Amino acid sequence: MSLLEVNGLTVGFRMPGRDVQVVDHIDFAVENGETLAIVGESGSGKTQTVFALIGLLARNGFASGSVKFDGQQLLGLREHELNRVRAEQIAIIFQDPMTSLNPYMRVGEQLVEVLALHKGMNRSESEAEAVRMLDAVKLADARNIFGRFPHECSGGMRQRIMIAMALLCRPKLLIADEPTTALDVTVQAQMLELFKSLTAEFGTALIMITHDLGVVAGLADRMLVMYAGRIVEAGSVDELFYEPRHPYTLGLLNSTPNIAHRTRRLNSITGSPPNLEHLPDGCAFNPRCGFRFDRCFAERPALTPIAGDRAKACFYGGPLVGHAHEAAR
Amino acid sequence: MIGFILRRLAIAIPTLLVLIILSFLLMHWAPGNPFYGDKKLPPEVMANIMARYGLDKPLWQQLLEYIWNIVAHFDFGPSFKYKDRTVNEIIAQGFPVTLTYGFWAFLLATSVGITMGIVAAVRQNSWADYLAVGLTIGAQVVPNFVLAPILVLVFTLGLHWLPGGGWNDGRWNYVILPVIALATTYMANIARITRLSMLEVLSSNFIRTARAKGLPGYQVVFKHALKPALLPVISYLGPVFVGMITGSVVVDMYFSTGGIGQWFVNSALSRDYSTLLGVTILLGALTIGGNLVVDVLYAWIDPKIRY
Amino acid sequence: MLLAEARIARRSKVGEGGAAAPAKSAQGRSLWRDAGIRFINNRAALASTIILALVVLFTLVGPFFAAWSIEKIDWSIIGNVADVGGPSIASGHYFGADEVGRDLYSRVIEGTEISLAVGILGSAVAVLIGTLYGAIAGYFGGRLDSLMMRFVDIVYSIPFLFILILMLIIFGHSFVVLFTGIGLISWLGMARVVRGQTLTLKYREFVEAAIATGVRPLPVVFRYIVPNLLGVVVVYATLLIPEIILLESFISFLGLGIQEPNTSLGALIAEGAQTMQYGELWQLAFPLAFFVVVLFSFFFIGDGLRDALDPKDR
Repeated sequence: MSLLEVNGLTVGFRMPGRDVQVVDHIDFAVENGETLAIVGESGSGKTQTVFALIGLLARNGFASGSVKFDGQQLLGLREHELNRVRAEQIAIIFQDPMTSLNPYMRVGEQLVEVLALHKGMNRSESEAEAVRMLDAVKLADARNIFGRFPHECSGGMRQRIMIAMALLCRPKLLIADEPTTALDVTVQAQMLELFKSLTAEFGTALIMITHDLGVVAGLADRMLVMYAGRIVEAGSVDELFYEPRHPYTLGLLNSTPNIAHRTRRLNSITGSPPNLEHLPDGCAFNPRCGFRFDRCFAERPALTPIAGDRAKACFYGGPLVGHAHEAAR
Repeated sequence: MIGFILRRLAIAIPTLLVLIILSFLLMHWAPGNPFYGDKKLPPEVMANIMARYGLDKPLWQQLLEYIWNIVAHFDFGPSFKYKDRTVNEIIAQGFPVTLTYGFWAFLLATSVGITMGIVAAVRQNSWADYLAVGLTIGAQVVPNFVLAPILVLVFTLGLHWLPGGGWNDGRWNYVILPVIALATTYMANIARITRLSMLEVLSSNFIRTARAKGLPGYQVVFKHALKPALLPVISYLGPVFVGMITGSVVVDMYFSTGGIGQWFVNSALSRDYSTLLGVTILLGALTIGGNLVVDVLYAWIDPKIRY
Repeated sequence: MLLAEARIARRSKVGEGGAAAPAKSAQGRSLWRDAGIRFINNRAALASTIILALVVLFTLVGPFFAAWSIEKIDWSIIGNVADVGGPSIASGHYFGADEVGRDLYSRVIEGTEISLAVGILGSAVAVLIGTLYGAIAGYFGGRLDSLMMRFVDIVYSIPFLFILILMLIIFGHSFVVLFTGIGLISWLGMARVVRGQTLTLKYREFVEAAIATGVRPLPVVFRYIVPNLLGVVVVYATLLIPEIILLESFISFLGLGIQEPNTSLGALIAEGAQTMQYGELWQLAFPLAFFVVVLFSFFFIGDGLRDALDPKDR
């Protein structure tokens, strides 16, 4: 049994006069200890997917389908039951460390309350454990940081504090929503190293959301590519990087500038991200696809398995790698 | 924090001085004279009166003596109108009254207002929310000088439950109507501000983090959201304080409580300048002091402000 | 609410091409139009604007239908107002008469005019002084800013209401003194708000660009900063009007406001409140109704403007 099994997950928002669907019946699974990367443009639904897992959708959001964690169905749980899953079983690190910590409370207090609540520790025990965790995330002078306010810490420090806070209860699954996007590149590298060592040390499974393929390459075992609220390709990182089967995946790979190849123009995927309220008929990617044909405008491709856990949602059967330059027109 | 308080004090004191000087000068440039009505007095009598009240000395000397009396002896001088009373006595008589109902009104407005605001925000779109919003809008347009007679109409003339005026040494049934008349508008505004502020804070990122940590609802609201949500409310408490001081004038006049506000208007109308000056300075000092407390409270909650 | 950014955004849209799915018409919509549409969609704000317009119309047209002037005393009802002074079409006192026998219809019209005038003019003065003061303090910053805001802080702390009342008592209640006093109190808040907004604006890129292309400081303030302050200023000014009306009413209630035979809604309400016990409720009801309607309208319009110009949930 997988640690996390998601089946037919749909997420939408109630807006005045209409409902908008942002995630459309997706299926995926995460095993114990593995690192899964979810890749896609802004608006592809990656963040809302993971928010739906632990009930963090906005007031006007709704989710349906099945989300099984360790055999327990999470969708539809009442708030106080969900609270037992949050932080203890599944923890999440948000994208913007600047605003994700409470600016009016000291750092130490925000850490201690997690332990006091979930582990029933008293003051001194929780303080000791929190300091230990701050050390584990390689924060210098952990004791000192304990008494500081968030605005007295740098962005990199704040993100490490968030990571420490998430790992306090040794959750089985850690979700990181674009954890390095708001940081500079040098700090990014350190952060990824940290993730690697921590997941190894604590045996935590990790869902890493990112739009940066470099991050994926360095960290993840498997990956999902999402587009317009649907999964368009899934498989191991190696398989997708060397043999992408979906034109969008190919486009993403080609868009990553290579420092070894100096070019005049940067490759990009033509067109713009889709309007979720007005998706085209057939495959949502057809306006921007270089491999489309008639069927793509008529039918929507379902996510079909190819081999093992490899899957793609595309009608085009031919090889893609040789046509790198076509997709990037 | 101490430094912050000291800095604020350093501004408050000159402000008070400016107030005293300004009021004093205004008083002396005013046309009209408290000592005679229509009949003119013989010059020797006038000279005696002036000497008695120290009005024959040069202006700057009067000013300095006045300030010195206040600072060193807390003495506001004799009343110009009531020949045998000092301003201090008048203040001592009226101030406790105002203080009593002012205190209760403040307490009522803040406690009920903040609670209503929190409930409305947390139970958004429920009946509690709509009720709170409705009441707030209604109370905002009914100023206290309209509310007071309506209260009297209903509770005194209509239901005969409560007395319509007087103070009777502060018995509770004489305090109720003044307190309600004074507090209502502010209670409504405080509720509105609290509700809006709480809604905004509850949608911020760090609250999302608090929920993601599995904290129960009441902890999220009271431990994480309440402090920042109260910041705009605390800023508003300054104007509430000032408003209640001015509002007390209305309450005093309507309910004949004998409070300081009544003395303010009476002394103004009867040209009792020394009393007027004394009351103005007292109320002004209260205002400045109140603003100081508000500033300190704000800085206590928001660590970024304590520069 | 950034005009300049809107212009820049519109220009860059032209360069976008590609095989994208057909988007809406390429003609840009100005941010002001967006705000205008949002305002109109706010039913409370729209209704309030119409109602306010109707009230103003009424004050302009109403006097033509009046049977009595604002000071003429109707001797036939004096002494017996409670019984015969009620509203009636026949006697010409459409809104009834006040305790002294004067026609309430005309007086309410007059009161509404005066209250609106005081509110709008007072707000206009506060806006003018406050905006200039705040923009200059915020833009030039440094010691000038410190000095100017220190001054505002100190003046803000002084309970000016008392000084105002003192002034009115001592110097008499002329329209000038009233206005001066109200103006003195009101511009401070506006100055603070404008200064804050200027501080945010002056570090925006379009201002830097203007300076970099050689625009001198004062033109930068007037051509770039001030137009972009309009949003905040308009909202604040609209919400300031009811505050000023309330302030003036309070002063009139104390007997220090508008001089007879002129009157304001505040004075009328004060008079009406006193005769409630005789059962002459119309004397309170009519001015209070107009008072409440005017205030409500300004509140909703102000809220509507604020939502239109700065919506939180787009």
